[in-house]
Amino acid sequence: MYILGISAYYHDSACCLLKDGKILASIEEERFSRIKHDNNFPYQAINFCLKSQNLSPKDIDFIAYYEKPLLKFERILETFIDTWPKAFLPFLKGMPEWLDYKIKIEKTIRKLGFLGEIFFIPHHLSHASSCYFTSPFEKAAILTVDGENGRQPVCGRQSQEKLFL
Amino acid sequence: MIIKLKNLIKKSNAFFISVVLALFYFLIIGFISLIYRLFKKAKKNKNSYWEDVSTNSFNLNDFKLPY
Repeated sequence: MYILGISAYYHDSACCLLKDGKILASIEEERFSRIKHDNNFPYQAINFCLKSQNLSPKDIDFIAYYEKPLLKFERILETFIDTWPKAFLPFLKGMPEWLDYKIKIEKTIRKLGFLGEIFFIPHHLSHASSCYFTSPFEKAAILTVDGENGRQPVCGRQSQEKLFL
Repeated sequence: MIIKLKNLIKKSNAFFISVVLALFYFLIIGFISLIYRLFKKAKKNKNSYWEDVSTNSFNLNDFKLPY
């Protein structure tokens, strides 16, 4: 089973290809675009990951996106309401980006030619998963803290290969 | 000449969008912000999932939606 993980539109857009839980290829878009911390959709990184295994988007079983974009958009809108009128300039800069392409991430992924299921993983669960599933530990307590609160708690625990938040 | 015209159209589009967004921000968001501040709850809900994380687990359907 092939799974493609995608991170985009925040910072350091990247792509990771897994087969049966093992990482086959993983790379950031900035390595191709030569733009430091490039946050554009990682077309070139995806292309590299697929070509490295002679795959096409149709061969991928699932795509996992690193956050829930609508949840994030709602949180951003609430922040604009809560901080009015101090966030005027971020509002002018952020809204065109959101309404133009950030909110249409599913459509962008479908344009790759992918026909399978897309999973939107809560942001902190993505962090916790990347930490736990690449670690040698069977049991772990995980704390994720960053600037992106997708309305999830920041603490987690692991038990029997399942993550709880 | 054509490139200059394209740039001019792009800039005028961006300016128009900024004006619309500025109006939206000060009129709509401002009004909602006023209502929000007037009726904001003073105390947080103790039964919120923020307070009790131990009962929360995920199933596959939770991940199928972007919300």
